Amino acid sequence: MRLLETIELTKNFFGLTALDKVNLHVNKGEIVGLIGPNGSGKTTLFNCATGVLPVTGGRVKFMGEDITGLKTHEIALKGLSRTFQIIRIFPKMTVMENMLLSIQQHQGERILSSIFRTPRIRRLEKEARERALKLLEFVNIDHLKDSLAGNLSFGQHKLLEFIMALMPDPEIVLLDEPAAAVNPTMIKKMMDHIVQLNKEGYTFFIIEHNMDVVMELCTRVVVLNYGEKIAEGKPEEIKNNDDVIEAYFGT
Amino acid sequence: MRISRLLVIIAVGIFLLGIPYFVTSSYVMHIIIFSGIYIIFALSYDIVVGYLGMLSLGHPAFYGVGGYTSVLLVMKLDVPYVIALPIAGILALIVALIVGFPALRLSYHSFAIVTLAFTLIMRAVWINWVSLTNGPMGIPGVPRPTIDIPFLGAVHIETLTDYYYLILILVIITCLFIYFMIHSRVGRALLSIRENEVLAETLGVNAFKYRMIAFAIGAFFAGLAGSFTAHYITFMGPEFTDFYYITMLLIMVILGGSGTIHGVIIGAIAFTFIPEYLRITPEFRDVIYGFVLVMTIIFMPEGIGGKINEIIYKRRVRTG
Repeated sequence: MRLLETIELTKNFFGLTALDKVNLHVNKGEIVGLIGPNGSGKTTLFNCATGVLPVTGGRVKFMGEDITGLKTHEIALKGLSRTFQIIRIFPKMTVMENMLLSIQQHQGERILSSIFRTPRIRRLEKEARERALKLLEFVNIDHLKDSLAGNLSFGQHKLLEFIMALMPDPEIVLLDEPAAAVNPTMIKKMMDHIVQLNKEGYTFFIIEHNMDVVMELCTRVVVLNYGEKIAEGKPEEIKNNDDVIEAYFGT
Repeated sequence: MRISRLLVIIAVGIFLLGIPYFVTSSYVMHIIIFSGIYIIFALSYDIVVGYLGMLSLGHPAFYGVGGYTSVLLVMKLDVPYVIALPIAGILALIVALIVGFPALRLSYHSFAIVTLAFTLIMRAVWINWVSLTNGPMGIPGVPRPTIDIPFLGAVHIETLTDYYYLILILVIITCLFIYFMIHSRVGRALLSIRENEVLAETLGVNAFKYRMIAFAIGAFFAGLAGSFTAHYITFMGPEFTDFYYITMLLIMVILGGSGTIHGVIIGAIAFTFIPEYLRITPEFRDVIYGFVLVMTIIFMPEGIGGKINEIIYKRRVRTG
């Protein structure tokens, strides 16, 4: 089943074509890699898919439904989570508050009952707390739950952002460079987490520059260059694809 | 810990209830009541400026809307004060929703300008809609509130002591509501928007909706403050929507500590009392006041509340 699909997706920035009629899709249960040289439009594609940037042309479909032009929060509530290339967390909130915020809107929002803490809201908060603890334990940062998120190390930020994306039990998780700028041990950990979660049924769509990670992790790879899709296939096919080699190294 | 906290609350409660008995000067009592009004006004402003992080210059307009609403309801339609007071807040809230719907879609600076224009327009409306508001002359002789309590009969609010207890109740309601709001999911969502809007949206927070909620709740309490003020000074006029209030509120909120409840309360009290007490030296009044403001901002850039939080945090770290 196609979870996420872009049809002729196009994005122009003042005449510069960042995405040019890109067709791609991610099936349920896959780990799809999105690679390409710097400036090839990978992050732009994520931003267009999640509604952070408006698209110029084409469509984005999520679980068969057209989500082009929807607001970011509407798309998020449909079950599409993402992380950012440059880490985004709330540094002035505690780790637990970061986690709770990631799920509360998915549990439905009722302003007055939230303010006056009705039994239903208290129950939802308790459930959210339990789920947050489970995920924090999963990546081994549960001892930091009451620290301010801003006091964590870079690697821990990365893990926190990762599990924040998992918090609402999303249909698909878009990861923007999960292995960038972290040490090899952490890369290994991150990969293990992704593989394990994939076995549990999570679908991932990953932008990554580290080819070892891409080759080992992904079931399928899509390559962008200057906003155009130049190749798609299994990792080993991509490795030997002439167009891809040319895009990366020139000739 | 539990018991000592309870004792503190009881002690503060007795102190607050006892104020009219050991404050003998009616002048001081008057300033205390005004401190109460400004606590509500400043706290409601802090929801928008501190927690939402938007510079609204439209707050005095809601103060005026609240004042005129309850005064006109009580004087022209004979509505009891207990009903007129909440309606004043609700009408301010509705006006905030109407203004906020276009204004809250704008960027930070444009929002400030639009809300400033709103304040000036509302002031022009009060001055020119003479048949309703009596224009620049204002409405004198606003009746003092009468509150009907079931089984106890009507309570007439007449003396300073009566007003003090009424404003004390309103202050407590405001503080509790804002405290609960900030420490609820709504408060968490508001903070997330202030800290990083793109991330908040990505996590499913509808930033626009929460801005509307915060802006409207702020207006509600400003409306209550306006209503109380009009019935306390028994006069209602266009001065209620004066630009002066914006500077006053900004001083109270920023020097008190935006985004903290205790800081804003202290700020509201301090900056109601300081200008009054500087009356002893009329020549140097503004100079000294300006000096106090500059010193506060130099030594406590996060405001009084921020300083208190810092001290508490340091002590907690030191004791482990």
